[in-house]
Amino acid sequence: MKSKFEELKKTFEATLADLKDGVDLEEIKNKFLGRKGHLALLMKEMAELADDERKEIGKFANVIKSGMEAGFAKAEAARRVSQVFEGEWLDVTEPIFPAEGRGHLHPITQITEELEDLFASMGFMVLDGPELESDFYNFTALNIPPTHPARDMQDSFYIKGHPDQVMRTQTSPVQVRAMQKYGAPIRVIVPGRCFRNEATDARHEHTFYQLEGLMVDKDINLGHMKGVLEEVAKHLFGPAAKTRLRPKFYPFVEPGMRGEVTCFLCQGQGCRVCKKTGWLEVLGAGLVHPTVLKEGGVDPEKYQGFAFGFGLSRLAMLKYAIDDARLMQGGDERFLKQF
Amino acid sequence: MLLSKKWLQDFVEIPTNLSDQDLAERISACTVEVEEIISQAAPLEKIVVGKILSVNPHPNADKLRVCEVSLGTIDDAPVQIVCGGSNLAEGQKVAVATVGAKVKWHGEGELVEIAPTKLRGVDSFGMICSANEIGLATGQEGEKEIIDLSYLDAEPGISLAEALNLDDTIFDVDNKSLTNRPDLFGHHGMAREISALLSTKFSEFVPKKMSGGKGFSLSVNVEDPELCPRYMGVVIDGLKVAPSPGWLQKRLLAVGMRPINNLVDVTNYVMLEIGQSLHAFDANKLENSGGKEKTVEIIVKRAADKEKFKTLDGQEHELNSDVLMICDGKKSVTMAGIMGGQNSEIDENTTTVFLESANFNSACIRKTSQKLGLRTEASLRYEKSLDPNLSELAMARTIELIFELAPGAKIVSPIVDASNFELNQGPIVLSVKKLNSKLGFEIDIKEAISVLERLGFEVKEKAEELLVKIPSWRATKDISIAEDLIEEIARVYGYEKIVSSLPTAAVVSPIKDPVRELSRKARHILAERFLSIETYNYSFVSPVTLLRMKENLVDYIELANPVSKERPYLRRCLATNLLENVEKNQKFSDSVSLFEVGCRYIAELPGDESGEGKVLPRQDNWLGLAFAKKGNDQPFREVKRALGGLLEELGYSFELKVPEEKVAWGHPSRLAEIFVAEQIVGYLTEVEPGVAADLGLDSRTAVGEINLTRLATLSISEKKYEKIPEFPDVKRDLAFIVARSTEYSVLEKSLQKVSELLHSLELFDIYQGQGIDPDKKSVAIHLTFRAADRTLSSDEVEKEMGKLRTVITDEFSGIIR
Repeated sequence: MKSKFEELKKTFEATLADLKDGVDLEEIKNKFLGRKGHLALLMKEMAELADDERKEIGKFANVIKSGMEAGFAKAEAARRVSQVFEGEWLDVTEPIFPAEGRGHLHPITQITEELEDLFASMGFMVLDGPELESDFYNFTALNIPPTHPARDMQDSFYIKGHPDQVMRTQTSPVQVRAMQKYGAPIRVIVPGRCFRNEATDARHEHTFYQLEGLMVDKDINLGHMKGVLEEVAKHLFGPAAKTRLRPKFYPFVEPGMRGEVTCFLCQGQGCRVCKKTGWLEVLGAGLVHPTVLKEGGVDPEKYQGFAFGFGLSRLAMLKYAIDDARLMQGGDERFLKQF
Repeated sequence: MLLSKKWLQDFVEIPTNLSDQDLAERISACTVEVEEIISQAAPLEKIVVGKILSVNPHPNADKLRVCEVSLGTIDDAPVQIVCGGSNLAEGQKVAVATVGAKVKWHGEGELVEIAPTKLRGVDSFGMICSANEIGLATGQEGEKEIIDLSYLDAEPGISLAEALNLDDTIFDVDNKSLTNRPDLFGHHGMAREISALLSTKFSEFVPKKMSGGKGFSLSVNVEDPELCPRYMGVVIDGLKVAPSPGWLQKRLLAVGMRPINNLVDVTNYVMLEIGQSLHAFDANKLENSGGKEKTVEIIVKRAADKEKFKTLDGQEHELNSDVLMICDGKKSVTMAGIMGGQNSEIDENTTTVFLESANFNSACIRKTSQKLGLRTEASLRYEKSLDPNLSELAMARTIELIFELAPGAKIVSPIVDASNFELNQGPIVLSVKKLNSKLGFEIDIKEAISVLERLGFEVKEKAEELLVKIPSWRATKDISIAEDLIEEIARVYGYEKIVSSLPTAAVVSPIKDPVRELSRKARHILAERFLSIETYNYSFVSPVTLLRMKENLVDYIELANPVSKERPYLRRCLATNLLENVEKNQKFSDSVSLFEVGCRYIAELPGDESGEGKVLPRQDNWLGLAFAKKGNDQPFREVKRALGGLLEELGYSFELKVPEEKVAWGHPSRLAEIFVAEQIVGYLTEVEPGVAADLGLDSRTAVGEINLTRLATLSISEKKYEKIPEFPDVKRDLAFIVARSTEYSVLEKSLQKVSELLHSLELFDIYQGQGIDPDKKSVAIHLTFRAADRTLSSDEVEKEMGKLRTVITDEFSGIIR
């Protein structure tokens, strides 16, 4: 008898488990649990049993019954819930609308902020100075006297009626201004706008951005400079980026060098962008010239340090594969919205 | 600057196992970037000397011939080549491009690889080349001529490059970054540098002793020795102008210099070798004050003001007293150190030359050459501060070469040397401690000394110091302090050997620049909250736009040398360029919202110190925002929302006031000044419609600007906790009609004044239009009443409302709706 009840429960559960959409739940309920359903019929059979046995089977039958009822209730609830949800169906793949868009920061702002944060984490101040600069700070204080041929390297915009004023050709004048203001030891970076008097085309811009760095202390040396520049290169171009230093003349550093990093586009294999050399020139650097320290009011016998300059416009162009320098200052939303 | 490897090898030993690549790499790593290595032979690969054995007619073409050509192969089997050359002959030696060689078809277009082919049905296994097909054209060849190489003493089969001695390698170095190294502007100096890099032997050019001759009297008078520290001259007779010999032409051509004639070529050759420019005059064209025969009289002096002078290139220049001239007894004959004059130029009849080898002041040459826009090979070198000793070296080398080239030549005057210079050759004291401290490691001092000595320095070791004497060729400007020596040691030792390490420094929180901090926050707020787009504009503005904006050009700082005349002025506000941006972007977008952070340049306000007792123009940092949207008639509100919201987000309480003075390009009744802490920090306005039309703006456009430099000095409103109310607020709305010109800020103040229980009010609607008088507006506000100690009864609130209504009706003649 027990096994008959168990059999029934199993069949019932299998029916519920195999429930197809659209099958009427009431029908199943009647068939199994109704007054003339399978369970009721089976229960009727119990009447013929002896008292003791009937009592025992009866108990058992009740357990089976409540089990089946609970199972049914669950199936019923599931059916109800799924019907409600179906009615609330949303297309989750539709785009966000109405389109609100988002605001955009200029690519050079983004690269500048990234570098500012890196240097700030290493204890560097972030400063700027005047863009319309005196000839003194832009050249003379940087060890470039008026007749120095190095002035040719930097075609300058001069100001009408003020031959002693110039649109700064580099962020380096802030080295001297910063040392005058804060003395030594000092750690500072200067991201800023610079100007060179040259005709613009896809590769040349008269207005561009640099990031200057200066660190002066009692024993700062070439090894330190290399170490810091490698950190920056890895931050910008990934942990595999290598850095190498090559001699290059800048009047305000001695020794002076240019820094190159492995081309991140071809991983140093040589490509069009790195002119098949595997290296990209991205910075100038060197140990601060004693004349510059003196102009900054710092005693070159007690202090020494390094300075470097990155071309931010160039970095941004490399990073985003921008092929026309003029877009940076073109004010075209179709360009700016890409960043 | 092009350098010939062979030429360098006249003076320096380059190990045969060192590849050109490795040599270039070493030069790049230690001295100057080699930008390109050019192999003369590379384009002539697989092109060999062939000997024509027979020339036969082509069966199917009149203009083609079928040649049997010996290429000297082991079995000596001739090769059949079909060729259209007009001057083919049996026994002729020719240039044969064999299968696999690359040639330029008829001297034009891309390189084509030679393959076996059939020409009009006849097999051909190569090509007999004309000069322009293999890049050897001189311009003298006939149209269908092939190169006749019969004059060459070369067996068939040897490579053409070898036969023509085109086996040099040319290094192109970036001399723009060599402004500090006048000694490297010739092969001799560069060879010395390379010998130091490679530790190989340098064979210095040692001049033979020169002695003067007789026949001419020569006098040199240097009036301004400061501008001309040395002037050497000599007269040489018995010359005949002719083309230079092949070897000399070849060298000049190899480094990109066009051969002219033996005399000119020799001076150019010496310049490219020694690095010193020389000038040769036709002595017979030089005059002297006394009109005497065989007399050369040279005066070195400043030009007269407004003096006119015609240089070799036919250009006439107007000079002034800053320009140094070489004069004969009667006239100017050369612009010193820059270019000779037409009046004393060597021509085909020249037999006697006056040869000048001099040293001029670098600043003077640089200034003149810049001013006149005349950059020459000579000025390029002089402006770098040449070693005056080179004058003598170059003179000696020139005389040597002239004698070699013109056997009849003889010196017919004394060798005059007007010399007035002193070089500071040190010694420099270099402390070993300082050297190590700057390098960051302890260098083997023997190695350091060796580097210096290889470069030509004389070093004495003394206790912990090196006493270093500077060689004359590095003493003019380049090397003067210990740091200069450290660079020499470090670069030749090798920057790649420097071990990188990170510096240790005191833990100090870096000082923050408040303006930068503020501008960074502001950028993010405008982009992230107001979905505006950041742009960067030039600092330069266009007079066309300025005039359209009714600005006064005289207020503007002007560039002395703008790149283009279009933008010669420095901006006095960010709006100028932002409005140009709006105009441009309207073509592509219905709604434009752009902002920029940058500085204004204000001449009449004092800015930073110039470092020489003066002050620079004020250059405060400003933030500017422009907004326009098709169909939006009040963009002013959007700009106000953004800039006001920005100030609030930054923590500033602000106030907008109607200014007394109008802005020329601003809408006179849609213009406000922004105040923070009683100080004006900016403005906002709609562009006056007339101006907007002139600027080509399609939609109404508003602009606002905030002075971040000033804002950063003002304190933000401090946040203070206010007790959360214990008793409930009571809210009411109030709508009324008042005159359109009623200022809300005034109204608000009056309302707040009369009711102590009024906790706050919030404007939620302003309506003008249908149903409202044109000179009236409907205003609706939410009112919140609150008491700290009790729940307000409706009677109390009603009483307050009554007071407010009275203010509106009585003070503002309003009508409650």
